[in-house]
Amino acid sequence: MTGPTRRGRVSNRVRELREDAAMTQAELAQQVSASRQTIIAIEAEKYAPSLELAFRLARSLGAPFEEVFSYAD
Amino acid sequence: MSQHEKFAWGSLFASLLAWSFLTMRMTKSWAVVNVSPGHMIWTYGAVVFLMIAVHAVIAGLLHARADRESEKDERDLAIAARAERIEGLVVLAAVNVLIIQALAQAAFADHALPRIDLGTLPVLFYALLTVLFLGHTTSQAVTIWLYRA
Repeated sequence: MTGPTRRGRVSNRVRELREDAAMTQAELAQQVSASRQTIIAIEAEKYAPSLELAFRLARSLGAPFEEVFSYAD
Repeated sequence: MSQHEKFAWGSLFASLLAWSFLTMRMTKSWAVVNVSPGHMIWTYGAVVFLMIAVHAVIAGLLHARADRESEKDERDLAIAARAERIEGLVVLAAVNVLIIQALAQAAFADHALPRIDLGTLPVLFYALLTVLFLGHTTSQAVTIWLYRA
């Protein structure tokens, strides 16, 4: 589901991969054309990004999509 | 706190301020008083002016500090869309309450629902503006809640 969501259904490793890449939230936000608040919400799994933003995040983090995002029923 | 959340706070306070002004002009001891059409036209103009002026001031203050973060991204748009959807539902529910109340009053003289005499212009004027304020206030409150949830 895209948009404000319940914690936990779409999980991600954005924070971990971003820290591995020594990137700040502001830098990642600029690369993917989103606000820092949105990156914070995605890392906290309070917001599930759209498919387009998710692909941009994966590309910026240099990781395959399925390595960054996973979906639990 | 993002610029959009700050704007929502400002808009919420502006809305409550304007509704308080409307209530002060139209009621006495929480009962709508019978005022002249001129009084209502003046009140309506003042409420509209107050809303526009306060929103312009808030937008101006936030614009002075605007940076890249102030552009709306997809999360901001998703939050705005959800808040507008809930605002629409609240307005729909409130209008239906007024309709049911008016019909009940016309059909059953001794009905048990709270009475709002929509037959007089001041009450109708106050009730409709209150519905609009209720919708706007709900929209801003939901926006703030979604930014913080």
